[in-house]
Amino acid sequence: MDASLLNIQPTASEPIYRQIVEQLRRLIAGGQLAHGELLPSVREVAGFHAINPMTVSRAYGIAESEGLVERLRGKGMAVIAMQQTAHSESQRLALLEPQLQALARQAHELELPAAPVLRRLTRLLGD
Amino acid sequence: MNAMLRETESATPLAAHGLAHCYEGSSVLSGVDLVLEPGSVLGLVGRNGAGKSTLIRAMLGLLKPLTGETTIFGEPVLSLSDSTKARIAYVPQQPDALPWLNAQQMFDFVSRFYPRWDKAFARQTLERWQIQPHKLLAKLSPGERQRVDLIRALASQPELLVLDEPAAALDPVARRELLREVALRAGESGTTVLFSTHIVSDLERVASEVAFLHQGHLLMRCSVDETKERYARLWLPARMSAAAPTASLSRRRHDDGSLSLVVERDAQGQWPEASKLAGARVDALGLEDLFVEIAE
Amino acid sequence: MNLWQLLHTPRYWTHASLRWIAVIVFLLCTAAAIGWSLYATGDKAVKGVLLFYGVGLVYIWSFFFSAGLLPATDARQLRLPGIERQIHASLLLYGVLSLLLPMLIPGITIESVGVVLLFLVGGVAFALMPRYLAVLIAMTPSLLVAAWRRFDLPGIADPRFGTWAALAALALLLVTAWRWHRMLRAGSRMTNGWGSPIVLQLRSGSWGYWSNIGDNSLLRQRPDWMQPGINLDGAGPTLPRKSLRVALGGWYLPLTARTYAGHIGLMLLIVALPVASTLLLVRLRGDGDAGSTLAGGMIGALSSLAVMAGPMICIFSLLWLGRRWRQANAEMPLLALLPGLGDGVQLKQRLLRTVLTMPLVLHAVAVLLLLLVMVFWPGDGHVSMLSFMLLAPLGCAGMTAAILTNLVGGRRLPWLANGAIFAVASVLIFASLLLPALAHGRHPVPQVDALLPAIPLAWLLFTGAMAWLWRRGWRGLMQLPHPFVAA
Repeated sequence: MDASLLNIQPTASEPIYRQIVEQLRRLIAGGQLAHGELLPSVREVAGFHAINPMTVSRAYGIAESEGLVERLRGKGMAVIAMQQTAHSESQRLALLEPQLQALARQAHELELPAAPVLRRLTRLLGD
Repeated sequence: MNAMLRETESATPLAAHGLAHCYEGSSVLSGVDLVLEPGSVLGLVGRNGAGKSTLIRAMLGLLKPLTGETTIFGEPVLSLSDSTKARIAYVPQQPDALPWLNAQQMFDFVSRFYPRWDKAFARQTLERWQIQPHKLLAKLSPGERQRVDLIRALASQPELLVLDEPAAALDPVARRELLREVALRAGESGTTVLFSTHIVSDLERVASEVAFLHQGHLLMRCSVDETKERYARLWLPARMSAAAPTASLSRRRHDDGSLSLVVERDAQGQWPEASKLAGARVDALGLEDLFVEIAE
Repeated sequence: MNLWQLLHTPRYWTHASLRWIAVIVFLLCTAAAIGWSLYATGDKAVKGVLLFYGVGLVYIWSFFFSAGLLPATDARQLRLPGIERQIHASLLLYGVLSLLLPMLIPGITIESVGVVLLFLVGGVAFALMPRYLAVLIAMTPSLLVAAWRRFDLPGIADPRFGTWAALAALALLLVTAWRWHRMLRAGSRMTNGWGSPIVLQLRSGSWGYWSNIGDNSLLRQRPDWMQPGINLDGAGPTLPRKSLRVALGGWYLPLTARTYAGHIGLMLLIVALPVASTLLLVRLRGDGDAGSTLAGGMIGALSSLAVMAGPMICIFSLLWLGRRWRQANAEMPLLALLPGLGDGVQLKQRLLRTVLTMPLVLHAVAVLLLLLVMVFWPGDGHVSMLSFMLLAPLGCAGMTAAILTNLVGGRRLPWLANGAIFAVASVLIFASLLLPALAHGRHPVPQVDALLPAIPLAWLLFTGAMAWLWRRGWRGLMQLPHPFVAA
């Protein structure tokens, strides 16, 4: 994997380490990162994006603890991609969590009750 | 107990207590306490004239503050020993030192004082940044001058690097390079970095902690990630302003009667009650927005 | 364009300080002229009045009225012919006034107009001429005086001089007007090099050249081959004094042998030019004594240089060091954090010694020059007269030491105090020059003889005050936590 694959937005409201973890999660789930593929070193990522290496190592640590990657002695971080079908429904649902939360929040702000939103959503999902 | 305290103190790159200073009758700093952890990168943010440069100079012993004291690596800053001075590097704003030398001569001269001077790094970085080594410093543009002084500071391999508005005179490419260099050093060699800036986006990349200086007071000090997770802007329409929480970092009323507040997550990680009301909006804040809200 | 407007136009040409100084000098000179006319009689009266008034006129026209060129060129560039016309009309008005003013003094007749005009135009010409010419002329006054005497040219009061002066003035007026017109046309294309006039200096600051000391504009302008070669051999923690000299800059810099040779060569060249021109003149004239003319000129030049150098050295050092020391982004933070310079009292002593060495050496050179003059002065009985002059550079050395020590010690003197010290020193220097010359010179004035012992006494008091001041600075230095702390 190349460090340029990550897209870092320092000014976004999401902390950088969280952005890295999310992007790694999506890349792995989407199949762009194969099982066993080595992640770029902390130095490479930090150097490419001009960010603090500690941020990168924090992100890698979180990814490791979530089971996305594992540390191979002497080589670095390697991707653990689970089979598509092995993804439990709850894990796949967890990927949608941010969008669902955003939807809920916006509905709240627009002062919409749950029923019409759910009706529309069901209709969209039904297609 | 004392010995243990002293040992921990000697490892602290910078510790300032109760700094206060006046200039021409008006107070520039009041009661500033600042402690740097080793290996951290602290960004000092403030409006122009908030006292950032004065604070930095007071913390380095370049001026004698009215009250308060600072220690660097355990030594009082107004009487540093030579070995401690060799571990510090400072780049002032718009450096103007030794303009009668050229870059090569200046590095040559300064390198004799610093035992850990990296000659190869100095030479390569001058080349990479395309600065003529035999051109008189007085004839260089301000951006080039700044870069030469930055190379001078970095080549001495300091353990504490203090930069006063380092990116002000640099174009975006040069700024990115500087941040890259600073970030790598902090991460790998464990260099502690303190830099002041009013370009907040630089901070978000590289700094691990941020401190806001406003009118001589240190308003806030926390890690950069925390600022994004801990603070948010709560917007309440006019009819709900009565429900606004009392504790907020800033409060602004708009023309139509609605309220904007900067609120903090409480100990349980929850936003204040008012955010759950229908019609209320909670927006995440970038560092720049946070600063603008607080500093106005 | 009414009279009132024309009279008020020059108000905005230069900074207030420059304007006031020019006016004050002019008023002093006019007062001296008036005083002279009351006390002296006959031939000497006219000569003195014209001389005093002429000096004032030269000053005010070269440093103040000539600055009108700057707004005139600006107005021309901005296509505002009305303002240009107003400026020229105002200059004309003041010119006529300057010519007519001495008529009010009894004893001055219409024949002297030529002389006054010569002074006036000379002042403007001085401001407009290229810098190298002005420098050459400034270096040769005593030579000119010697040549004057040698060639027996008519004195100022002589009526023949009147016509001669009027003709010369008109010729110079034509040249100056042409130069003015040229520069008006050139506008902002006038460069800042040696070919440019002095008047351009006034644009950059109230003191022009003086305000540029310490900032980098001179360094930027000099072409690379003219830059001094700095000698960095061995500068480092092993040679802290040399390192301090590199960091102080200016004339403290250790230079390579080649640069020193270059400087000496340049000085010889500067000396050789007037010497060669005098020899040429004498040879052309055919009669006699090149030797004595030369000796007279040289001696005059050396003695005036040695005496004038005193306050100049002090001012230069103060301006240079004051400027660098005041900036928070210059050498101060570098030196404060540079490991290996030394610690505590030792560092402070070293710094003070380095700061004071060069200026004191220059003062010593001035004293040496005066001693040489004393030895080689033709005639006798002048040793006593010259020994008074010797007090001047000695006293100035004390002044420099005191002022610089206060600067380094963090007890920088307010500019009013500096000004007062310079004023007192200037008065004392002037007295040391003038009174012995009056008492023992060509035409001795007997009353002055009684005043002579007051001079060394005054210098002694002055030196005592400087010693007290020096101690104040030293105490301040010792109290600083380290010498590079900002004031």
